[in-house]
Amino acid sequence: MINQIKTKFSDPDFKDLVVTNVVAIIAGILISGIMLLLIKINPIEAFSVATASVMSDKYTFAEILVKATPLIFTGLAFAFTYKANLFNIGAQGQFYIGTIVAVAISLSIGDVVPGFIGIIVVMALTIVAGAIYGGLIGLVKAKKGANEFLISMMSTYVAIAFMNFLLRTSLRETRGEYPQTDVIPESMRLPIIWGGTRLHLGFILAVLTAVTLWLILFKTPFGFRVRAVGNNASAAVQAGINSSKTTIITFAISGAMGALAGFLVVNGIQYMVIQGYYAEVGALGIGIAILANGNPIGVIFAALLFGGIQVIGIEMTMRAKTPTSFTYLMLGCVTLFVIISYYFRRVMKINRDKKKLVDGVSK
Amino acid sequence: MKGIFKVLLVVVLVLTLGACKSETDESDGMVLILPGPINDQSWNATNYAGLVAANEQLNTNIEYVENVKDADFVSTFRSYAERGYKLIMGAGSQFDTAANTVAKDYPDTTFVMVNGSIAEYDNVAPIFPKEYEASYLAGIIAGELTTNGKIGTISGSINAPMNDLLDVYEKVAEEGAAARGIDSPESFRANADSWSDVNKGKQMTQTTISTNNVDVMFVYANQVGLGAITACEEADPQVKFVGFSSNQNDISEVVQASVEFDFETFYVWAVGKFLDGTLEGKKVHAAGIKEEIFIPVYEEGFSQEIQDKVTEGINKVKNDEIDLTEYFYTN
Repeated sequence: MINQIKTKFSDPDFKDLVVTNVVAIIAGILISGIMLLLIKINPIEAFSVATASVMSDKYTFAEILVKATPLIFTGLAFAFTYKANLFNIGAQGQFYIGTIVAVAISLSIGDVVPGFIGIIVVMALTIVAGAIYGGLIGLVKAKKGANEFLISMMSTYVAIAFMNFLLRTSLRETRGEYPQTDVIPESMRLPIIWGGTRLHLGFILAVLTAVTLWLILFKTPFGFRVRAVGNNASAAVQAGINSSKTTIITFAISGAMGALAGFLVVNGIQYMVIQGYYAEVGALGIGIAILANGNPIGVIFAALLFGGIQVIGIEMTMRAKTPTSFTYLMLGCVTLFVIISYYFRRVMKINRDKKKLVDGVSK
Repeated sequence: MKGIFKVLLVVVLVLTLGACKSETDESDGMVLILPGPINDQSWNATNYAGLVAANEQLNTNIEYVENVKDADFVSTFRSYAERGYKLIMGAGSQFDTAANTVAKDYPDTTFVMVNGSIAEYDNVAPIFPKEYEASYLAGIIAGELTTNGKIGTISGSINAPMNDLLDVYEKVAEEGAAARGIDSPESFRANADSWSDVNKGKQMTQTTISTNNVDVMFVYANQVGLGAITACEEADPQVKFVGFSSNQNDISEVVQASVEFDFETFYVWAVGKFLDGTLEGKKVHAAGIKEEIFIPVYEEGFSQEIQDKVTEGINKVKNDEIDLTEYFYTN
């Protein structure tokens, strides 16, 4: 095991990835901590009180995994296309499509179809809806050469408008008070896997999905095609890879990931849809995927980090009286530094390649 | 690499040592959970003012946490309950579901939702302002102000309490107008489906004024009302506006009277009930004119005759001489 890690670290790319990310995370937390000094709060004390609370209470500790669950999926939604050098920044919209489908199907079949089968049906339909919604972005990209940045971003606005429309009409709660749905029946809720907490089966599903996507990307011909398109699309086409088909399927898989995040929030945690909730789950997914360098396994750890920051941030607000915005300041700082680290990694890689080239020529 | 690991080690040590501190006793804690910032000049600010008043007048030390997101309702409630807080309040009926979810596991903590309506457990005691009593007073004013009997209303959203308060407002205003000899008074109701869209308020008010010839407006939709007031001001002739929920008299000359919600009194009433043990659970506690949480406020020179009629209305409610629920017809 130790030898394996040593071998990994001998790869300069991997070493850069770990070092720059660790520095970025520490820098993000330190800078946001300095901000606390400005409002006369001792950051070390605040952080310590919050960390102690997280460590001493299993419910709060489990909240880290609970928060990480949808983030793993939105992280995967970005990461999978990222490996094909495509950018799906529409995970937020795909998430909302997932929540709408999950809640609508759960409410309509909840009392008819037995629990377990019902949940499987909801999950399957959510995947289909997300794959279609994401696949459409891939389709216009592949067939019409549309900019996937713009299309995926606009698809989020369409999804939000669609959700707002439904929450004011057919999906509106029976009480009719707020733009939110009714609560789904108990039979449609994912089982809790850690008693006394809110941790549900979805977390295991998220981890298994990440591992599966890793296997697809690195151990299957399709994954090879995705990465080939990502490394050099023209070369991939020359080599006989159907780039259009790969683009569409990649986006469909990404869309399904975003939608699955919605399914897990509805059937695992909130049991309902509230207008505009989880408004940052898509954006955080992008930060997570970049932090993981698009590696699905890395996404799990990056999502846990982001989940941890969120939970510690909330505890800091409640116990150390830091402003609520501090959690997002911390997340923002970490994300910013992670993105900056991406630039540094690139520079380091280019320099290394240049050096290799120079060394090669001088030989 | 070694340097970085050293830094990491120091950070971990600092955190771990700090984490060994003992926690303070919080078993008597009270907290108010707010969905937005305390300086929003609207719902959250009003609730915060109530908290401050309760702390000053009842010598309590209610804490607050602002900007709590929907996704964190349950975990926030639970976290305070776990720490032994004896009173956890949530500002808004959107906390209903979360509070009832958490309450069953913490029987020693009382959960109070302001404007809430769901009380499934013995330790859940929502408090509810009988807004229809406030709109009764506004209806009396409108019935006296209208000259043609065309009454316009706009709501921020449609729900049962909103329907009730608009029902009472319209019927009372129509009765008042009819008593003054105005032939077949009529009401026109619209829903903005927004509590913040100022332009929508203006546009909807312009439409209802021009198509229905409305001459007195009433809006219960926070900032949407500001747009409505502008439209009333710009109309020719100007349209009168009855202020609601806060004192809107200073905004424009078209607002000569408002019915203000006194959340400070409301909070002092609710927290007082909690402290003396009369805020029993599994029950919605409603407060209104009798508890003096609705206060009519008038501009200088506003008709004394109308003011007297409003006072008469207040006394009718206080003496149980009128049953306003008989005016409900929508629900």
